[in-house]
Amino acid sequence: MNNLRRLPLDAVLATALVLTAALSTIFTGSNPSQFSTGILEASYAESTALHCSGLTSSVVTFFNTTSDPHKISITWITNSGSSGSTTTKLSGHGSWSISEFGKGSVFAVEAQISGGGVVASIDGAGGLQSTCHSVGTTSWYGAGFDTKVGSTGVLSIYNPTATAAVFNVSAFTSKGFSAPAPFQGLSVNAHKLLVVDLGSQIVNTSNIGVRVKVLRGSLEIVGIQKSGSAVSYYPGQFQPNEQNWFPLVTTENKAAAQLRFANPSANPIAVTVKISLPPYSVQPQTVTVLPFSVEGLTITPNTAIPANGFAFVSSTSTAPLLTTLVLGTSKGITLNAPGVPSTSLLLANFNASSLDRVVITNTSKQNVIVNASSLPGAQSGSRTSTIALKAGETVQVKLQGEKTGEIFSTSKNVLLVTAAFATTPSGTALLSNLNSR
Amino acid sequence: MESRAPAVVAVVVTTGPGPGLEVTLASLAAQDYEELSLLVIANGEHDNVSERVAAVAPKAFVRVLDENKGFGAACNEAALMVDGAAFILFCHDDVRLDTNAVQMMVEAAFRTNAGIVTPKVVQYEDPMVLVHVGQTSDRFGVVQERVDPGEIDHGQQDLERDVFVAPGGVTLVRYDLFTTLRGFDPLIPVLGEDLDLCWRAQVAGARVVVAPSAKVAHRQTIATGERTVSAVGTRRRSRQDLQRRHQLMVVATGWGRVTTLLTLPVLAVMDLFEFLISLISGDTDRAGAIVSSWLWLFNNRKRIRERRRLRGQVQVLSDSELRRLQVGGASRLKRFATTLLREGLDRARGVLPEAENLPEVISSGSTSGVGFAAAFSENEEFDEIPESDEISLRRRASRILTSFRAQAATIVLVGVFWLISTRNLAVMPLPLVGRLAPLDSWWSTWRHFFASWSPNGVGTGSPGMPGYGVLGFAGTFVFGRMGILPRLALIFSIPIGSIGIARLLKNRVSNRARVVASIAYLAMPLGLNMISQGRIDVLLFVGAAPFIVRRLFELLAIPSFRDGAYPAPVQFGLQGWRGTEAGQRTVLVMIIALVSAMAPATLIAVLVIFIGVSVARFFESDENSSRVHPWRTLLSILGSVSIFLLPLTINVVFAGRRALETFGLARGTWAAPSFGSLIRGSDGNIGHSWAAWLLPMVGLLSFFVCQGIRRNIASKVAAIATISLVLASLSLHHWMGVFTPDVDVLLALYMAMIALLIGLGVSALENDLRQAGFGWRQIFAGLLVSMLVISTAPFLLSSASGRFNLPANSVAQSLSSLAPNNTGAYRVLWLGDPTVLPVAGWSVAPGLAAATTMNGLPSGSTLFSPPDSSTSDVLLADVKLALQGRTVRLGSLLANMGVSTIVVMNASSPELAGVQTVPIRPVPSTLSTALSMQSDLSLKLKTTSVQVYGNTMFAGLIHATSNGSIPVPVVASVGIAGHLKMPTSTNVHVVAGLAPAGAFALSVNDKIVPRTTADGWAPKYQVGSVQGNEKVDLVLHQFPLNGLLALFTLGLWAIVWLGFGWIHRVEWLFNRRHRRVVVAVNEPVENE
Repeated sequence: MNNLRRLPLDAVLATALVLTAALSTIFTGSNPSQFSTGILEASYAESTALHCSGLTSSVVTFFNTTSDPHKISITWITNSGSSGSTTTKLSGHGSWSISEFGKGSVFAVEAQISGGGVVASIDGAGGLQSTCHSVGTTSWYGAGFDTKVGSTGVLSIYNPTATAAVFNVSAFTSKGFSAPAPFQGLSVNAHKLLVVDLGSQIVNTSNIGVRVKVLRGSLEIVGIQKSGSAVSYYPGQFQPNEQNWFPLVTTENKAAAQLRFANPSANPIAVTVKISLPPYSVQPQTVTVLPFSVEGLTITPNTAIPANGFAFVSSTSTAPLLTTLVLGTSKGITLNAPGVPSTSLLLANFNASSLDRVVITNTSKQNVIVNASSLPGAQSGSRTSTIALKAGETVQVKLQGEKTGEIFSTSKNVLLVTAAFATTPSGTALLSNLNSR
Repeated sequence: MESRAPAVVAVVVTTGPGPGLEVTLASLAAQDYEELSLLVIANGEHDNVSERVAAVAPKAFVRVLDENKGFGAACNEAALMVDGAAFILFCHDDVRLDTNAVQMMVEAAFRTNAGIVTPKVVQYEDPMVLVHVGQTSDRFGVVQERVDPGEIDHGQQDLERDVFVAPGGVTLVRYDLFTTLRGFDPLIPVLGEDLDLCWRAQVAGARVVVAPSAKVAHRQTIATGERTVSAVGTRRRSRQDLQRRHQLMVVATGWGRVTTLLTLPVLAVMDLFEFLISLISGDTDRAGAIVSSWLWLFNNRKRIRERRRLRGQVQVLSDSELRRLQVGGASRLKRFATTLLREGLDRARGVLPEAENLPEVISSGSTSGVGFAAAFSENEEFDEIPESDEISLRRRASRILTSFRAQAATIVLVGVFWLISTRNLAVMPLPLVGRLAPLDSWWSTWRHFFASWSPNGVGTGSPGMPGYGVLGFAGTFVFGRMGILPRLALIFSIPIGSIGIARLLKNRVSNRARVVASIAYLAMPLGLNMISQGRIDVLLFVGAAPFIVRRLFELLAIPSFRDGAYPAPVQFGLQGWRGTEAGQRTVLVMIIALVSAMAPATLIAVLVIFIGVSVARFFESDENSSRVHPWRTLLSILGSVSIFLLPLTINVVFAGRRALETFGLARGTWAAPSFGSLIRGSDGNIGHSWAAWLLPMVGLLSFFVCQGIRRNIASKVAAIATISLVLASLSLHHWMGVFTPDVDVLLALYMAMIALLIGLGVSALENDLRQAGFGWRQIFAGLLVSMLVISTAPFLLSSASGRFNLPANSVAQSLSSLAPNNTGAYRVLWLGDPTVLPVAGWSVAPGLAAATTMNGLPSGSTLFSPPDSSTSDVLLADVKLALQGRTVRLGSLLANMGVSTIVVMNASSPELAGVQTVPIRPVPSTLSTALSMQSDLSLKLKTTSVQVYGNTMFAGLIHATSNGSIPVPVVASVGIAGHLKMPTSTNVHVVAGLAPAGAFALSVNDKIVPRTTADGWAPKYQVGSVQGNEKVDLVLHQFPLNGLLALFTLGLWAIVWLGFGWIHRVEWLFNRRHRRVVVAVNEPVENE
């Protein structure tokens, strides 16, 4: 058998091997790390849970985004130990509220829902509002807490699972890293609530960054910041990010707006903040955050930034860090976590306060089409419209179903929906969007 | 017209005492060539040369030189004295010419228009023995003889022909050519001057011809040690030194610029290789000679330039034309490879062979190279002077691993080493990893085979898996000590596979090649990794694969495996039937069926073999290609196997979309071995070093060095290996959908093919390499041998633990304390990568399989999962719901199934730094997230290797409710043995997490109670009021269809086994006994 005749088989085998090697190298598998998120995906669930925490004076409202009725089993517990439970059936597109949680200042509520597509928010007086979550977390970050005189910063920590959870709390301040011994090795039994007062260990400090590392189990954590007469629920961030968007930041006179940064890493981080305020052109602001330290950037009042309504603010950093938008007036401030891009979000105004402005943002570098569907109300049916969003664009929208809620959806995890309550001065209170997961 | 013969001047150069001078002169004086003049050059010592010459040849001229500047310089001096001669005959002073030698040489010169003519040279003492009939050379200047040592002259070489070198002794050179070439190079006093002259002559376009009709006897006084080399500048140089440096000079100046640039680096590399091996083997003489030759070349660079300039002046032939006059290949390298293989390590280490086999000429006082580097020496000596007496040693037959004693010793050595390496496997408590779940008793194992119900998943009424039958059958041979079986599999599967490799290569390659291939198979990382992971299913295939391959090759009529037809058909049941085609097929089918029962992916391996052979034949058909119908044969085999494994076949038929999962479950791509690991056969922690690349590389090189019939086999083997590898990769990446055959089985086949290629490669080195010219094959051969030795490193390193890194403990064993209290029976749900789970299960998603065990840890009852998941689909669907984040009450969903604990495994064993390392194959990350958000699962334990969740909704495998109250476990009654204890209440309902619902019946006081289903699958019994003194039983009510099926299968095996001559034997037993009785009555026994 001569060499020439051998060539085809050799070549075929070599080609097969090389091709396989190339494909195997190019298409390496990755471990799926998260579920597909979005309120629409959740509607296919067999069962879901919602849990939230807040002040006992609040109202928790459940809303069924699907047309199917769902049975809800609700249990609640307060920081004084009182608890209760109830069961209800939520009709299609129906809503149901619960309040009166008994003794205690802070409570947590947990709802077991047969099926999916139900969302809930916790609302209090003066625009106090937050979203209920369906998934606990094993790491939680926050920035911007105050424990100065007149301010109280607490963490309301609820264990929604059947596993006793163990966690550590550490803090970053302008003085650096702090891990108070009483905050280490804390535990919360299954379906129990624990309130951690940051001021008990980190006294009289402004702009505190917090990290909760859950060693065992998973937790529902909400930061409650009382500042003067203002109270805010801070949902936190599950991980530091390099890029954050704040589509509605007020620049009005008498208003206060500040970005607070916390660096959880051992290296200094440079942050560049871009402020879009048409027709004015504002130079990007730069801040360097030292390791395990905090820093702030005042947007309003700022002599370099004209007072002209709402500005679109985005921050980019050289490494992941924590960012919080602080809004308010001289009477007090509220903490606002950056929005997490998603595929589908519900904007629902359960307490019927009037909204000043609603904007949607495309955080990606590709154009997307956003479908906006109003949920059917008592007298009206569902209405759907389409919005084309260019890369990185933010547009103002008018809600078709402001009273009932509206679902914005797109094909990728790139969508942000932001709304501001009508306040004086405007833009000092934001409305959280709702997401079933 | 008068014609005169051309004048010839015979120049005899004599040095020292010249013991044969008189004979030389006398033979020249006696020449019948009339125009012959005689000139004697006394080179150096010349006490009485004139008198001695005058006494024999009075007409001879004598020229005395004051200094011995070497043979070449003396000839040059003589040439200056000659005028008008057509030829010069250069003669040593220890030759004896036949009387017509000069005449014949001159005639040959004219006839062939040769520039240089050399005679046939025979031994001085025995003229029947040939010494030279001209010589050849390769492009590196290594001279080779054209006759074998001791070859008797039968006239077989009596043909005038061109040769490349006219060896010194007696050489006829045309005078004008000699002057054109400016004579011999004085820089070469001795050893190499003939090669140099002939090389340059041929560059100048002159022919070098051997004239066998001219016969000369050569005494070779220098070679035999009668006298030493004494030319100026050579006294402190060994012959090896002189020989090497002169060769180097000839090569450095014998080629054109381009060829020199190509040739010298190659020569340098070869010399470097030889130098290193010389150093390793302690052959300092040789190492020194190599170094000094290059230094000498460098020191004479001016002379090199001069010679190259002269070459340019006389050049007629191009390099390519000159190359065609030489032999191909690198003679020295070729000699190295063959010597290494033939004489091997003994020679390599410089240890001389045993005395009884040595030629008497071996002298212990020799200073020549004996070590490993001696293998580099060319087959024949440069010039006519042998390097040493030991040249005969190099010519002896190969020794290493060629004798039965050496092979037996090697096998025993390897066997002992293997037993030492597996010493702990025999005695250590086996961990609960892979398929090492403790087997049930012999009787229970058989019962599983016949069982109408098995506890897999939530319970199934599928036929018992044939693997239980195989285990029960095997357990019979160990007298029911079932615990021995996994240890036997761990320790002996790979050695049996090695024996299979040797058997596979029998009569196809040498025994040495078989031994090498077997050891290579033993050292493959895959088998060792399978030991470390407790994968006895794959190990069984590793052991059986060579036997299956051999029989398939025979069936497919691969050349040399089966070149003729099978024996004539013999009736089934008669002796000899086994040897027929039907018998051989049946044996093959039975082997495949036995292994497939344990590792069903064996069937895919069989398919791969068929495809590989077909692909190879498509491109390189052989003479047997048309004799077989591979696809018909394949269908026949698969059909037969499916009958032999009837319970499994029925399971597969009813498995629906899960049918393809029979051959393997989808692994997580994120934890899959890379393609490089696949090539190394490393699916685990062993074989990640660079040395693990060597065995596949050796296989690849072997494929390329094979020729002829070996190539024919190698092409099939390589095709099978390639397809195995490609299929394994496709399987790992799920590019074939749900068809994800067990990667380890495919890799085992791949490794068997690599071992085969290695065996064929060694055989090719022994045979094919001799016939091939120099090229990549020779280089590969050297690499191949080195790599084979080094490739055993991973094997040796992993053997230190005495258990090939099989963990001492497992994750599963550490969970034994997690059983719920006072809840009766319960299930544990195991989730993890299919290769990590200690129990067989079903696939939920890529990288996630699910399986259940009853009442704790895996046992012998859940060794095999039927492909048909049937009712267990509800369990798998619930796990999938959680995986997708679509439920938060997995505990509730699993409560009716009696699942008390969920064990999520990322590794089969805990990682203990410095103690044991295990491959981490994590579950999908979303599973951890999903389980952490379940409101009814309680995390009990979390480590890198495992997470354990307790089900807070668990209420027992069998639980009762009354009037909507919380379910309570139904446990065995304390007072009434074997019966269930029910809660005393009214309107009691009992739910049993046992499927299928129709298989079980609940009786209260021997009365069957009505049954419905809960959740659409679990039997729910309406018991009514319970007082507490009832006799309650939950019993299996199932027609024993599975038992009948198992019995039928066993009967089939028994009947076929009887067909291997046992029917005849039994018949003979009865007939013969009967006839003996008759004969005893009627006639003498001896007349029978």
